[in-house]
Amino acid sequence: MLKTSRKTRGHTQVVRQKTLKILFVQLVAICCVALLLSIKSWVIAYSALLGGLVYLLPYAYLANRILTKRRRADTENTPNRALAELYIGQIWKMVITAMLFALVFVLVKPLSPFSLFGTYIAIQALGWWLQMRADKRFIKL
Amino acid sequence: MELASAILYIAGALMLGLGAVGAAIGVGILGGKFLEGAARQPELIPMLRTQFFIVMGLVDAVPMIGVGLGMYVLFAVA
Repeated sequence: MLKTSRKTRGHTQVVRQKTLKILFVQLVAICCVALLLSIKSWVIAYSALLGGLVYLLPYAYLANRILTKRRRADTENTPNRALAELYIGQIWKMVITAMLFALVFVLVKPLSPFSLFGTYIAIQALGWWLQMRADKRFIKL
Repeated sequence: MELASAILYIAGALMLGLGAVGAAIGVGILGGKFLEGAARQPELIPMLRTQFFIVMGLVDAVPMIGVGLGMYVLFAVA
């Protein structure tokens, strides 16, 4: 029987709170970028908005799936089961991202690809920077 | 099929395929390390799960950009 300590369960909740804050900051950043770019052109603005959302929605799904408090018994929380859940969540994230990209490219015309990919990459970089700021987490790894 | 169009399809397929290879290697190593850590200290599985989630964001970032660019080439350019 595997028992998880109260400390590690609390760690999950702390990371969940920090991840929610990071997601909120990223959402605000996407809206600000889109608003700023709307001065120049509507196409660039909504392309930036779509690029940010294509990153943010699958990430939010994965965060919700992995960092949600599980109600399963500790006996089912085996390493294999935990890894399988992580892989399934990651596969769904990739599928959702690919589908969103395909939908955007098929349905939205005209589109500014530089604005879309620029925002997509910038929001990812912002996420990394915020992760590093959060208790210098990468140094702890 | 024109040559330019065919080359674009090959370029898109290469972007998607090489991105998938990179992500598969990274995620495979990450999963292996997760299992090692979980086997050594099963009580740390929740903590390892959150660390896995954080590092996974780093591992799959560049491959997903490649997927996006490949989709763009396949759907919008070609």
